[in-house]
Amino acid sequence: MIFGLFKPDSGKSKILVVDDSTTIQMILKRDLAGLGYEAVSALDGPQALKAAKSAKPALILLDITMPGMSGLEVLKRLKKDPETSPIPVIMCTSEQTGSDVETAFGAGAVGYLIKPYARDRLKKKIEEVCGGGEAKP
Amino acid sequence: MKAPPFTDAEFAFLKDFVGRNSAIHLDAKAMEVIAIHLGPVIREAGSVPQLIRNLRAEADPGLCRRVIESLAVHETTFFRDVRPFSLLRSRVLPDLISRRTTARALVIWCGACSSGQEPYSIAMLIRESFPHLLGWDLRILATDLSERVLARAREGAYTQLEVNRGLPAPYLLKFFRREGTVWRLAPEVRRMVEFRPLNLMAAWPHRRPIDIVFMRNVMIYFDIETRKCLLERLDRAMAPDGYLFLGEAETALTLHASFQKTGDERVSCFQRNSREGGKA
Repeated sequence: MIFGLFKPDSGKSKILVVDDSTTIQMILKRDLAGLGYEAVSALDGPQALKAAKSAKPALILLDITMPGMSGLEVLKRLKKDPETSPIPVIMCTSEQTGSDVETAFGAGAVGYLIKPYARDRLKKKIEEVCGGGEAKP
Repeated sequence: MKAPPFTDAEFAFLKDFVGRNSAIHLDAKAMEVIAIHLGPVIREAGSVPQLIRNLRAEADPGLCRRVIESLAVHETTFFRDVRPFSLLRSRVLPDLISRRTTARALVIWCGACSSGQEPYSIAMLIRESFPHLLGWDLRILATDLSERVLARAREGAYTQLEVNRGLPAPYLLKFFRREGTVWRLAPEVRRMVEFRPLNLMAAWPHRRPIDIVFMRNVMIYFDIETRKCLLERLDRAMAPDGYLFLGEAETALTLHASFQKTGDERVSCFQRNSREGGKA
């Protein structure tokens, strides 16, 4: 049966994008596809926690400012769970708010991106954080 | 703090314009990202106010397309996410085939087909697992907003990277032929799919009830009213026992009572209520 030949999802080139803006989701998905990655979307904290487990992404781009569960709270929960804690997280913010970034680094984020990010900055940051690691397309 | 890239009136116009012409929802949180992606068309016009004037004048039909294409996503792969296709094979198609034995007709619609990998995946799956359907009145309609991606889809030629993503090796060997640097899909598979340009907000081309709809990772980009409107229209356009596939993240977006979740918990597949029974 040919369907048995599908390999289980390795998640090697998947990036989980967590942002409540569907427009940012759409544009990031397009940019990440252009860079050879597959974007998985989560529109809020609970969806993000679920998707981090089911999609097993190589990297998470997590917006700080979200209604309901904030990005920082999502980050803390991701890092608390042994299943999701090894996944590197880049925090996304619209302005560089020093204290938020500091808190995020303290909670285990590996980098941050200030919006609006052009595709080359996005690429640079992903490569900087992941190096030769799993998020290579 | 930097000034926003658009005035409130300019953004309101763009939001309305893009919404009318593509159903894509633009939210203010993404304003700066939108400005970056519209950069080339803004520079071409000379300024944001001039771009808005040009769009209002509707003098350049290509301009609308360029604006939409600056923002739209065309990401797709063969057998994307695998599970929806497993469910299609193990449950959805066997169920509909058993209900349609008299009519011997099936209509499948991919509502945002991009460069064609999704409808071609369905066509290959049918050839492989349900070859007797080739003797039925089988219609696989694939639509997208972008003429550019549809032209690619009709070509049926994919790069090594594209065939590496999701396509099982036996399918590659069976249905594709190498032509220089690309892999060309066999004509008998290409012929199974009819590609057409379509703005989901405009009139739909279907004359017969649709049995299976793939509209994955589409509604996530629309606002709630647009999603509701699309689900209403799907409810009217689909067969009473038809199946609707949405994207993985779209489960919570189904705001219509007619569609009931079905199958594997991890797949966003919904069946219309069978109030009116099958149509076989």
